[in-house]
Amino acid sequence: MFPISCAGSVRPNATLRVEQLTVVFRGAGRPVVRGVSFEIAPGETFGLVGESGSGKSLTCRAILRLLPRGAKAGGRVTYGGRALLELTNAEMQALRGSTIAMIFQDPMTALNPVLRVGDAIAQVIASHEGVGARASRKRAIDMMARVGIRDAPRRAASYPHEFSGGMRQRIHIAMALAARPTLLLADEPTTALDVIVQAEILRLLDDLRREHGMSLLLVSHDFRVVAGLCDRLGVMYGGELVEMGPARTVLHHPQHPYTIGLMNSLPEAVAGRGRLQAIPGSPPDPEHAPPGCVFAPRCALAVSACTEAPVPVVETSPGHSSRCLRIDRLGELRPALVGADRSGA
Amino acid sequence: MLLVAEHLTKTYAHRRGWSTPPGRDRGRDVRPALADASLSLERGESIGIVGESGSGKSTLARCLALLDRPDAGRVLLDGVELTRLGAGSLRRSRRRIQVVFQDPYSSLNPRLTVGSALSEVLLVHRLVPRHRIGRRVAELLDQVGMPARAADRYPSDFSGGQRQRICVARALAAEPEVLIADEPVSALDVSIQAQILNLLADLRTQLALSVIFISHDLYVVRYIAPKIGVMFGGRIVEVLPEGVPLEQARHPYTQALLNSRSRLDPGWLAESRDLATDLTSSLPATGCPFRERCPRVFAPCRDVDPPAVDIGHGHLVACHYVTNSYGGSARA
Repeated sequence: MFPISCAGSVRPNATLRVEQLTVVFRGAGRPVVRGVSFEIAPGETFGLVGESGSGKSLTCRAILRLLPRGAKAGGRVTYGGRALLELTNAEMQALRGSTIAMIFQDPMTALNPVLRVGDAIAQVIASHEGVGARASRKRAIDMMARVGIRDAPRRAASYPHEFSGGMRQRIHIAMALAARPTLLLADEPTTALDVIVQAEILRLLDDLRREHGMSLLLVSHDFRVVAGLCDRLGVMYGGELVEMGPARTVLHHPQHPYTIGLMNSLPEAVAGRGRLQAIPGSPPDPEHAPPGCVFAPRCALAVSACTEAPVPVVETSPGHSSRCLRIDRLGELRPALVGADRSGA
Repeated sequence: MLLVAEHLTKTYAHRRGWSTPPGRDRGRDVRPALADASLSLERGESIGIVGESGSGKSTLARCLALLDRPDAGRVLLDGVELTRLGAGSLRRSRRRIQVVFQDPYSSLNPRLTVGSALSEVLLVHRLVPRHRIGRRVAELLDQVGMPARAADRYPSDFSGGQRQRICVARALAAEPEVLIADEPVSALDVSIQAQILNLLADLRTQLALSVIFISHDLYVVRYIAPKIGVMFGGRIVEVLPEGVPLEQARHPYTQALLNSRSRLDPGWLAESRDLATDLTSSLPATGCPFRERCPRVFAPCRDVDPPAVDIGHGHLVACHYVTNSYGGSARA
């Protein structure tokens, strides 16, 4: 498809493997991310769903080694056979942007406010691929046009603040993809955007993934966002991956009480006039999460065994796993939405 | 009618700063944040307001609560024209319209205990005799599902959801007839949102409150209020009365909102159409505010801002395309 010119980069058909990932803050007792394992195949879209404090963003950042100060990752992360956590800073820096890129919720944090956007994108191309100024500038403009910016040659000379939120996110995406990474990590890329713009950005990400043969890790607090474009998804709660499986199976046959609770609490789950099925209580502070199942204090099915020892991951169907001791009793919870879209549109 | 707003218009002045580009410093924005917005509520009736950021929904809330004075138009509460009251009488009327804001972190004073935040309201409005204040505070906390001992603690001791409950209790302390909730769950964890929505729905029925519920999510809004106003570009472009399903929305913008809405359905993104919106960052200065993004745009949209027309049973649509196709009713 396209040349990979950066020294030490990874073949485009690489798999990301995250094995027993932990993230611990210095001075804190319990890790805030515990035993997270998943894989993303080449060209696959994997969604990571969880609310604030679930550890989803830290998991995402740990892969790129962009953890906040004081946080340390353990376990193993490999991409195309290279162990990312063991690379030197220089080796890691060479991979960032060229092989693995990341986009954030707020594009303003990623865009330099005093740099014209065309120059910012061209800089990425020039620094990763060693092409000349003229060529990188031309490619920057092509990239801007590709992400849907009208009149790209002229807009390349504008500054970030001159764009709307949605347009800024497009520029951020153009910058992230400028050096043709094979894996894109997107942390809440549409959370700050309006409904219509959100759908457009997600569609753009999906199209670009297909064109570039890229793998995509999409992190979101919103089940509905990841439902739209992920092949597989994982649900995080209190620092652990509590359920993982093919998107369709997880949505139609959820195997963890938290997943069912989240789906049932959405307004579209009450077809008519019924009350919303709220999950009682509030999310745990992952550092002080109880031993055993983290969700047990809020779970209608919890029994004493749930809180006594760590709960193992069980495979409920091929490729679909859940960290729950009460899987056989899930039928007692009101059946989830079963994916059917009663709301229509 | 309990609350009537007529032709509310509000334009925020652009402050001229060092970064104001030349030509943009005329002092005023071209398009008002709120233009000619009218709505009315019976006692106990609720309405949901939906729109994207910048659509004017928060400006509408602020003008209804007289937190901002509209430039034009009137707000009437029980026949009393609030927009004409002086500061003193307005202060007495304010009690009757209370607001819960989006961010429960910035809307509580971190140095006041929850009890003092609530009793302050009771004292200012002289709602209960001093010796009964403690008991009333406990009642209010109970009403929002908080233990009475919360009164002695500070906002920082509570989670976002709990703080939002406290904000609701503080609003209820004033014994309002109208409760305006401006994106009250947007800042909360997903698993907490349903708790607060249920609380608001319960209070609405128990206290016969008129709730004005503002959100960007049509389905969240409909859960609280059967009647929905859709805003775009400072205008109320469609009003869906109770009983009209969302799917029967006629305004192209409302239809676009429904089309683009994420759902718990693996196929929603593939099924939604690309509307090629957001291509311009500013709205057109004349005509219909939606015309540059509208798939139905035709000649009159450019020059004439479409008036809201009742297409039946209080279903109002401000769209030339829709009212044209309704022929006769367009002149009603």
